[in-house]
Amino acid sequence: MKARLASALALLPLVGPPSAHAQTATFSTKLEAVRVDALVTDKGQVVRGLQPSDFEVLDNRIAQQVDLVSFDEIPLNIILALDMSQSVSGERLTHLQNASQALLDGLKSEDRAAMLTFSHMVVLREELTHEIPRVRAAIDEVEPLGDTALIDGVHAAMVLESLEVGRSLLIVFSDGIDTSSWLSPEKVLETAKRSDVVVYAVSVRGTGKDEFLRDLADQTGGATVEIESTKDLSATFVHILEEFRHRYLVSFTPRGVNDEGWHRLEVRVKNRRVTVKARPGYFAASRAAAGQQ
Amino acid sequence: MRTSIAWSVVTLVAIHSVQIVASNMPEGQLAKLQLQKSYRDVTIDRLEKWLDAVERHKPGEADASVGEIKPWGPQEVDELLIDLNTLLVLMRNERATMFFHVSNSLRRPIPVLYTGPQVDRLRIRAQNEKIRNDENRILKRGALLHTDIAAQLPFAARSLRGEPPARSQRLMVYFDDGRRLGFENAAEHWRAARLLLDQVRPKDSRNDKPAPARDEIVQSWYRVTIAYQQRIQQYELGHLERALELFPDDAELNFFNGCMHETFASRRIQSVFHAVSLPKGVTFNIGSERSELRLAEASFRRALERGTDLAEARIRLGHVLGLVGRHSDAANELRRAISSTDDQLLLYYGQLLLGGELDALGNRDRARDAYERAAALFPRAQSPKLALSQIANRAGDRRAALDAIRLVLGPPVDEFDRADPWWTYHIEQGRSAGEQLAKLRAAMFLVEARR
Repeated sequence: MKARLASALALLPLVGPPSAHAQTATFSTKLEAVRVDALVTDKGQVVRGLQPSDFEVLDNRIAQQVDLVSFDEIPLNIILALDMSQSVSGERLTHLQNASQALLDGLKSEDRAAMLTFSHMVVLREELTHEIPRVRAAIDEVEPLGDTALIDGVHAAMVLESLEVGRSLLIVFSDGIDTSSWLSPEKVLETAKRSDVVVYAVSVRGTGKDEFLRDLADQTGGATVEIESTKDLSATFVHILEEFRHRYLVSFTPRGVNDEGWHRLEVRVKNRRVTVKARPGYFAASRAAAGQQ
Repeated sequence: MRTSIAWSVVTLVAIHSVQIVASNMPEGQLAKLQLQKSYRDVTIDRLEKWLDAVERHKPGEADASVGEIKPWGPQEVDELLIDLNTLLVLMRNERATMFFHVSNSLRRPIPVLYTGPQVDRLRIRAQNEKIRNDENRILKRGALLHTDIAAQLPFAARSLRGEPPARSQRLMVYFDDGRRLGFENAAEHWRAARLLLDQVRPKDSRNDKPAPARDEIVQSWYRVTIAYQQRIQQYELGHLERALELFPDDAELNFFNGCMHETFASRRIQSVFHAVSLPKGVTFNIGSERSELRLAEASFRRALERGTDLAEARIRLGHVLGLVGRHSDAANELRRAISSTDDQLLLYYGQLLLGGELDALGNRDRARDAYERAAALFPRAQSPKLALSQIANRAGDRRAALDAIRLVLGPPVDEFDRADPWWTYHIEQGRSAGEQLAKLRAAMFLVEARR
């Protein structure tokens, strides 16, 4: 994950201590800024109203000064990576299509959506776009066929997001186990380490344990959701979007740490026993490489 | 690459431990019933029906003969072989009066008892058969009929049962994308064909004992039917085991044995056991990923040792070695295979797999070169492009990672235009099976009677 300028944001230069209110908080505009998407919950309930001063971030165990951007201010990039293998047919397909449409209903005008499907074949149906009707049409046109290249599909979805600005949520749905991919789970987890996207992986209970999806969610600070039936998909997708909107974007400029390589991150809330879900680290390129991006 | 494939349906032959019963009798009692005189009128009727069906059957066609014999299960097959053996004895010696049933499940041959009229009936039939047939012709054309029935599998999904048929020991279990679809007892037809061919005698032999291992058509039959089974994702351990018992030094059969174990080790098959529940008593003789890979390696090495330089065997050996973490050995085998073939498909597999091994060895630049060579062979195939994307991403070049896959991910979505041979790697070992089966049918149908 590399630091990037988010040109779509309304930025304020860092002129002093962060402001008291999340909505007017500032963050560093320097290229070296690192952003971490974090979900804070207390006994399963989302914790709201936290300030930059409430957070503690350790980069390779070195405490960092934290900036914070309110989630409401940043447009979302929603990427749907959907299983279109043979098993997703009939009623399952209908449920999946309905769930995807319900998710799109929850988007705001500044948000974008993309859709990618994977059977044995990975197909980019719609790139990230504000034109949500195009994504809706793509959802309605899909037809399941063939095997499941889940791992290949996830890699493609993450790479698609990699040059985008904004906050990115990747929702992966699969009702089976990968049977067809060329890429290995380990390689794609490497892709995840270098991506900013947060992955929520939805699977159907009883289709076998998939450690890849669990590891993927852990690596990106996301979550896995196991549903009993695809009838639950609409509510699940809507809930995921809602939860994503309630995540904090914690921004800091790394200081006192080596520039390149893997950085272990710890994100905590001070003086409270809450659960913070965030990616476990990020890859930093050299300053020279950062300047080229 | 235009290939007509049943994409996801995989059939595995399972052993159903429920005993074959009729009227709830244990197997030993059934065996005795089957050998009783009164029961033999029924079975002789069935034998004659079978002989007529064999004679009428047109190779490769789903004709009336196929329709008539297709419903047969293990009991019918076992009973056929008893009476057919009697018929063949009478064809050799019309004065024979004592007949025996020999079976692997029996400690010693058991006398088969017929009434006088029953023997007369069989003797007349034997004389009629001698006019147009000899033993081998009956056996091979009979095997052809059962082959054609089995080769038309998978049967239409509507015929599949939700639970194993009570009288079946060898089940076809159908899976689709990790879900169990149903059961059929159709594996019995492959068994029937094997048992018939087990009785083949060499033309030049005066010995009455069967010697299928000396018959070229029997050898071809195993090669072709195994290739065909693997082409349609039908996996039966017993079929290959019998083939290798008869022809242990056959390079092709050892190659196919390796392919089967390679497939058994794959996520495609291993995931079935994780995701799918099977009824009580139904088991597969499939091991863990590691054990199957060991078996695959041994089989591929045997195939290569038998003197036939199968580039494909070497490529698959390289694949297997890579999967067990022996990347340097894998890369060596793959390079050797690549240098020994100019077949586009095999070169693609070779370069793609070599890319994976070089990447695993940390040679990122050389891995990239191998992937690019694979991509050049099939420009719209996604696998080498995904691999190149992943390499670029790890090097921190996000633009290159995206560019590598953008071309292959967009329209058209026609799977033939986007064809990636990696998708069918698990069945391409049988890519000539259709053509070979047609030739085999002709050879088995045109077996001349020995006069």
